[in-house]
Amino acid sequence: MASRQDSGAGLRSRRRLLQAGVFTGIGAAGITALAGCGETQVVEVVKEVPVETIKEVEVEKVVERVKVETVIVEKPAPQKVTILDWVHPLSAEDMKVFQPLIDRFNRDFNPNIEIRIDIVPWSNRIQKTMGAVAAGAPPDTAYVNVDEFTTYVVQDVLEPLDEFVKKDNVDLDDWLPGPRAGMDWEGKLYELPHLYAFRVAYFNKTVWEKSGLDPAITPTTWTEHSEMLTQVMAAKAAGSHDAFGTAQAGLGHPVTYWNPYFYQAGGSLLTEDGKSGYNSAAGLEAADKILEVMENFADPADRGSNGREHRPGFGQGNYAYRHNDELGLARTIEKDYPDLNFGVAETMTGNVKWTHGGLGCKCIFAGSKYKDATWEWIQFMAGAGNLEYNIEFGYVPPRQSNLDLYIKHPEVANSPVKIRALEEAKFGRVEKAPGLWDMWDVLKPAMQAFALGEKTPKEALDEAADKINKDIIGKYRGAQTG
Amino acid sequence: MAVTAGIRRPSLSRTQRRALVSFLFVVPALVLFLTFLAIPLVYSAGISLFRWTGMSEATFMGLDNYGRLLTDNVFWLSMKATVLYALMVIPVTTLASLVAAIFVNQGLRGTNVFKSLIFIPVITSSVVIAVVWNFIYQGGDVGLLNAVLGLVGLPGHVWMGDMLTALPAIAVIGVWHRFGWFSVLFLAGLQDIPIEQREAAEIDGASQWQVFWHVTLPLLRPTIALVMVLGAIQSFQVFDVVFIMTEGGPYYSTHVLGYYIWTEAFRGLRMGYASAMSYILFGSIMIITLIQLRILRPAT
Repeated sequence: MASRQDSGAGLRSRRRLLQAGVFTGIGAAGITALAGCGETQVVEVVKEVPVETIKEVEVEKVVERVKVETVIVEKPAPQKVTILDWVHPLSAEDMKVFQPLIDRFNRDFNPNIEIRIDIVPWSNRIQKTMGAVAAGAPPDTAYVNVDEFTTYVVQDVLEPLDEFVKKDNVDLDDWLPGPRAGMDWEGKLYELPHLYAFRVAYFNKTVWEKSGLDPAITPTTWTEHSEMLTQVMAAKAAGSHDAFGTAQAGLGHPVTYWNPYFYQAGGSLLTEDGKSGYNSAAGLEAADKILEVMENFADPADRGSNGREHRPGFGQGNYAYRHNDELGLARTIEKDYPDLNFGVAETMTGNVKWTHGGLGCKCIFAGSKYKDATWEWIQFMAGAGNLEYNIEFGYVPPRQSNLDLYIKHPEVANSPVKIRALEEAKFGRVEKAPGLWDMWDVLKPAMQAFALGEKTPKEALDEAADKINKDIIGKYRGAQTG
Repeated sequence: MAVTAGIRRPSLSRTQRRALVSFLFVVPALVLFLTFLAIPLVYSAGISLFRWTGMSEATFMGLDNYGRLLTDNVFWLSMKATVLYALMVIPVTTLASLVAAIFVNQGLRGTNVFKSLIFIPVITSSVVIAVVWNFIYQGGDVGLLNAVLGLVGLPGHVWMGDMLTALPAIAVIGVWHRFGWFSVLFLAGLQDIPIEQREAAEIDGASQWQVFWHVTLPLLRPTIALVMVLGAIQSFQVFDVVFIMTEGGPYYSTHVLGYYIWTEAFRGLRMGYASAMSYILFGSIMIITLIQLRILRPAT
């Protein structure tokens, strides 16, 4: 459906270009013709037939002439262009996914756009982008996460997409609410999300049962969360199983180990007056919840962990409840731990029902020489090629039209866990602000400080918020040092 | 006269030609040196005087970036972590590698195997090393170190989650990674010492210890200086293991200067501030190196 829509949009786009060329030609040639034809012809017409009829005939003649001229003048031999797309590794052999997509794009949409894919490691994507932009040689497009695009936008690195969207009548409402919210900044559109990596909570049904809990019921509030995990830990102490309640990495990343609690508590990255929201009442509430989890429900060894072992750990049955993880975890577990009896828990509500809505998006770099061609490619990636892309890489299409097809795909339709997880997709919310990565780097030591008891949560979060307010917020437009 | 006029005189003298050929040999190295070292060095000195995200227009800030270092708490925590790391790594690596070199120099059976074993960490990727040591230090019963401690009845520990043990744990990796290389340097130094000098001391009745202390060690002074200077440079530049294992945590206890420079430059996009810190790091290394060379210079 979406494929046809997009295909139609692409064709419409080309047809419009031709039409625009034709009409421009008509205008120019018409003026020339009328001016050049001379008065004799007009006079002759007036003498012999009614004026209205003659006009019609003459216009038709002019159109015929112009059409011929347009074909000759306006249709040069198609020129092949190469656009460069930087992506980041999502599997062991990414080109096995990309090559068929590129072939299909060239076959069904535009044979004159050559797509060059460069696979850039995740860890140095910012450096590489920075170097390329500074050198005036950015890629035409790239996989840009929602957490980094605003940093680029405020430095005029990205091209607004509003005109392209308008020109091709792209239906923005087709994107789910979370992804839709991740497309713009300061009133302009900069990204087309093509991958939705919203997170859900997973739970181990076997441990749940061994703890005397009903696998049909999962926590919906923090209070229920605490009660159920207390029951899990009691059962562990009684020797019914060997799993901890949940995991909370002491050296882990804020997106996984802070955000769920902070946003569910009703926190915002930035307050209404544009300051850091980390030391708000919601931040303190989140810190208390994290401390409760660390002290009562998590493995004490987690204090020295960066969390990398937690995904396989859940697969091995080490935790009853896995907070805030991507749908990719379901895929990994189904493949690597087929015997694990697990399910997707309901997204919890603290003060707000929230789950992290990670996005992979395509943008056009302001320095791109082939913006129209790039637009065609990224529209394909977010449209006709999107289902295939997400099925192969194990993510979720961010558009409703593709999501409808995705649900029917055997890879998904045969997985009750994935079907269940998709119900939570609507709770995905994105966070975005210039310097977001930088803010996480400040928040992380603050989390460690209160977790280790070096500082109280208030002291640690106040310190972090002060640093963010001073060094990060407004840096890109203000006059901060560095 | 006519014959003389027909002979083409070489435009360059033999000395000049030699100089030219020598220069041509140096050109590839010179190009690399200029491209990857000298020009970036000068360029970054310039950047340190600007506010620049790497993508936007740069704004001249004078010495503000250097001034800001004085009040940046994280910078001083990073400097403290770096100095502590160096203080742990340099003496232990030097001593361990000297002992290993002396052992190897005995020429006992099995020393070739030992040489190979101690050199393996040197040629192993630091990323691999960090990943492997992560398993060793893992808390709970899973970590290898805790498992070994458990075998002898000692309690386990969350090594990387404790501010007191995280940095020493990283330092152990630094020692393990480098001491094979330094052992080779010491071995070369030991084999360079004339056998006659030691024999003369022995004939004079010196004990093994006296020979080592009064003959071998003084003659090893240049090697010790080299090892300590290299150790200081590498210690002050530590980054990769921290990046992979702790990302500076817990609470800045392993937040070394190299890591802080990287985060400021490539995550915070404060290229000017990061460059200013790089120059402070550069200056620190230079001062320490000069002090070491001064202390350890051979007696005349």
